[in-house]
Amino acid sequence: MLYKCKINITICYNDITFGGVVIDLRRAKILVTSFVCAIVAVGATSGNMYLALAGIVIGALFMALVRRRSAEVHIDERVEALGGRAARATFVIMSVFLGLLSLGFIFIGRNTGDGGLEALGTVFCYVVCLNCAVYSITFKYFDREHGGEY
Amino acid sequence: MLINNRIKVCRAERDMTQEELARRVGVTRQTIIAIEKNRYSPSLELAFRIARVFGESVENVFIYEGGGDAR
Repeated sequence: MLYKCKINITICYNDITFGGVVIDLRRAKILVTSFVCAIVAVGATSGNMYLALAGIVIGALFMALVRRRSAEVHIDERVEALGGRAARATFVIMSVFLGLLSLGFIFIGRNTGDGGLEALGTVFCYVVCLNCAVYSITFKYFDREHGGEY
Repeated sequence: MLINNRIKVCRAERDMTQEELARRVGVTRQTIIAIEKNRYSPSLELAFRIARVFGESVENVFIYEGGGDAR
């Protein structure tokens, strides 16, 4: 026997109507996060990687659907401004931290004759250079996008 | 912060919630709260959108309290 199952999901401004039941959007997010955490925990404890992956994929798909159909504003100019400041702070902190770490590794590696440590320091050094290069390129791109002249 | 605003007063006059204002100008409620508390200066575009919702000019909603010429 073939059963046809149809669940209507309607997302209004702050509510989701799921099969006739109205759920608050925030509660729905908490529910989905709890569901994904539970599935991942079960998958990890039972050693079933596919179950954990399926949980993450289902959760991500659901959240993408909710965000796409929701009328609620998630990102506005203030969030973007804060994101920019956070990204800049992260860039500076990580660049300085990785730069100092790479210098330390290179000097310790050279003094102790540990080639592996020196190589790791060199790799970190290149990562910092790449980070700075990507930052400069994206900065110039956005500067040009927003009317900066060269 | 050199820019003050009358958003709270304008909202109260029109019996409008922060949520409703946020929805009408297309930002989050947190942004409206931040602007009302003078913790965030909105962009010119957002300032115009907010003023237009209240049917007022930008100068009536946002008050610049800095000096005149910056030279």
